[in-house]
Amino acid sequence: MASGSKKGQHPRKRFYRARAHSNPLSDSQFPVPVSPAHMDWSDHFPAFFKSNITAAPETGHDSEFNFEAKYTVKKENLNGTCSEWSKAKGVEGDSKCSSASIIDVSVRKAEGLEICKKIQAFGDEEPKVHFADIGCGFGGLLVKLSPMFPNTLMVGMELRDKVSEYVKDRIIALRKENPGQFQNISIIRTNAMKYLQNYFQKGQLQKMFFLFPDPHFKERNHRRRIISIALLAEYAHVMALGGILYTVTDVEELGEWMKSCLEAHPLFEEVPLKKQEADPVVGLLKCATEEGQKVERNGGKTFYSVYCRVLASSAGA
Amino acid sequence: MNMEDDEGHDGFAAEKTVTPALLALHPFSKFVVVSVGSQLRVFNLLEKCAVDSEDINSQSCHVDAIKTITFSKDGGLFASAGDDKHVKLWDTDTWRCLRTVVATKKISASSFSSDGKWLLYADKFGVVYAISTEYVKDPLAGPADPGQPVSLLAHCCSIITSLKCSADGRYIITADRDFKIRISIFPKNPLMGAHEIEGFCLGHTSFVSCVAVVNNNLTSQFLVSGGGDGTVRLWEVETATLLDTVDVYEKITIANSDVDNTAVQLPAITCIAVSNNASLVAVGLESLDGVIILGLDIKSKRLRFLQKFLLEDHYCPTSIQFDRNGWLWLVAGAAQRTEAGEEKATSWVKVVSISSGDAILLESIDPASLPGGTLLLEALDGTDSDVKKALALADAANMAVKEQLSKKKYTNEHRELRKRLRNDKKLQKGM
Ligand SMILES: C[S@@+](CC[C@H](N)C(=O)[O-])C[C@H]1O[C@@H](n2cnc3c(N)ncnc32)[C@H](O)[C@@H]1O
Repeated sequence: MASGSKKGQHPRKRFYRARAHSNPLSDSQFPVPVSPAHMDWSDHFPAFFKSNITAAPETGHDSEFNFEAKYTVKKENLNGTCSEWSKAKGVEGDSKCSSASIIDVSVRKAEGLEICKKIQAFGDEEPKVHFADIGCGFGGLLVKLSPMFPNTLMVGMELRDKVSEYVKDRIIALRKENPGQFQNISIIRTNAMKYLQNYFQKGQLQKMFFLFPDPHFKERNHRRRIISIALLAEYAHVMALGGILYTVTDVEELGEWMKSCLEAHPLFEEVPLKKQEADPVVGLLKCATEEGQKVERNGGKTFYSVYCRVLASSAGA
Repeated sequence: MNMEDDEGHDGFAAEKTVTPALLALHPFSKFVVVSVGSQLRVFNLLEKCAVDSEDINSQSCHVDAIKTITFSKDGGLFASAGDDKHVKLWDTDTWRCLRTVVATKKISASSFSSDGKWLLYADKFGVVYAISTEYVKDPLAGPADPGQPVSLLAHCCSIITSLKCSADGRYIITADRDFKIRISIFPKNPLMGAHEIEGFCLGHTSFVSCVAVVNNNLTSQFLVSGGGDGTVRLWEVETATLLDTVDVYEKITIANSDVDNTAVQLPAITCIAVSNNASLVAVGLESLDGVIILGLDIKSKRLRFLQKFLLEDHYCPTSIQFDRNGWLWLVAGAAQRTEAGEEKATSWVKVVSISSGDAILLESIDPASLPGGTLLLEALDGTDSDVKKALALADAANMAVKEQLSKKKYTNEHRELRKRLRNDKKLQKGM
């Protein structure tokens, strides 16, 4: 937790000064789950993982949001040897459990039991994240979306450490102030350009947001842009058919760039304007986030793209 | 330029002065090729004679380390590419270079499409390109313009360590430094790019160093991979499902304490090969002077540790491949560039026969029994081959690869220092 903020109080941005930019192409120093099956979301969304909480001993301190410590919990929802391990530990391996394998030597012994428990508790019914706000900044969009889709789990992904800390503390404060609310939003510090597949399974996301992404004006920095033809393939992979990808920017050139990438990609198709107008989320794009509000205050123009994940047309790729 | 090349690895590009030797066998065992540094050494196994290396290396030589060599499935074409950013297509009938494509970045991996119509290659920034090969053999029959390389797909700024096309032609398999193997659908028209991902094989807990596709007659496709985490994994390609894992390092440290198991970092798998009948997998492990043989059972989808086969002291293979008869070909070797820019290249080729009955039996083949006998070794190893040096270099080369692929673990102190330097720069600018 960043200094200068008391637990559960609304964080103030000045205590979370961050560098203006972080290079999304450099090696990172944060933990990344080996695969989506290794990701433990229960600490992010405790209210949605109740049965897990009753199974696990209450830790008392900060159990609500103690996700960092368990960030890299290893489990694997694949064929393998969890049951073997359970046997070794004298635990009865049931059918669900035996379909899992623990792969990382260093942690398999310590965490296997916990994972088996979790799989027993939820199996395939484990609640899943369906919305992702990529480069969420200070988290304004999540806060707006939370009450609109109270039963949908959504996560913000932010590269800058301090900024993600801010969002985390902001959510803690909101949950504290509004019991029972804001339980469906959370934040992960990660590089979404590199590690999306480590968090989400194929076809998992129903909505992806890219609001006011960094423009990277210089031609030679275009490959740092978060929307590109190559990266769209990875976004398409984690998106459900019919899922919607939203982008907005106040930089006209970037707006055109994003649109042209989406237009050229065989797995995305523009949502017809009529439908866009009917989508309550579209209205939020330009004003829900901190960046959007800044642009609005300055009377800047905004440029949207709203695209649907489709099957590859047989004529195309 | 250098600055840009370093980017993506946080400014800490490993200076790789040593590069491992590579070995490629012609699919019908007509040729064996060894690359060491910038040199290609080709031996004709049918005619039992060396292909004039003078000719090969002078007409169209590489000027920096070769990082990838591969034959097309029908054996008619061969490709070489590497640090000089040149991708070369060779006609294996004449060993003439048919075309040299100049890429923008260093090349790390390559593969022909299973129909041989395309050569795919990956650069150090994770971009995979394709060039058509169709015109090359008969310039009159093909289009006048050979066409520029088109970019197919990209791993976000990660070094692609291995690139393969599945035997059935449906998939492109790319492994990277960020622990993942991506399965992309081979596009109907590669000129339009490969935009559809079938899945990601996730399970390695360090870089993926090597991948081999399993040839079988089943409808499912399989692949095996080796990683910096010391494991070998078996995957089903269509579903990107992890089927089995063998912790090679664990197996051999229990079996024998030859390897220093107090090492903080696990030793990496350095090379991998699958036998043509899909029953055996051979792997090299960093600093292990020998090979590890695993049993592969495609029906039950299992992989199991069979045997550690020790070779000469300090013989750590840098590249291995099975031939059609089930012999395992190995090369341990490397090239080093001196400060004066001179290249020292040494390698040592060995062949091991593996007979599998009740127990598998490995045996080093006497050079005299090889096609061409000692001629073959002379041709492939080079004349000035100093065995000891070759072996020391080979292991050093394996380590250098690992060094380059490993995620740097910075201490807090180190990071603070870097932050300070950055801020100092800013202050100066502000003044
Ligand atoms: C201009 S801000 C916009 C923030 C927010 N969406 C808004 O509208 O207020 C872009 C944000 O994306 C983050 N970002 C850039 N590249 C990223 C990446 N690869 N993964 C995650 N976040 C990234 C930056 O750190 C920055 O906070």
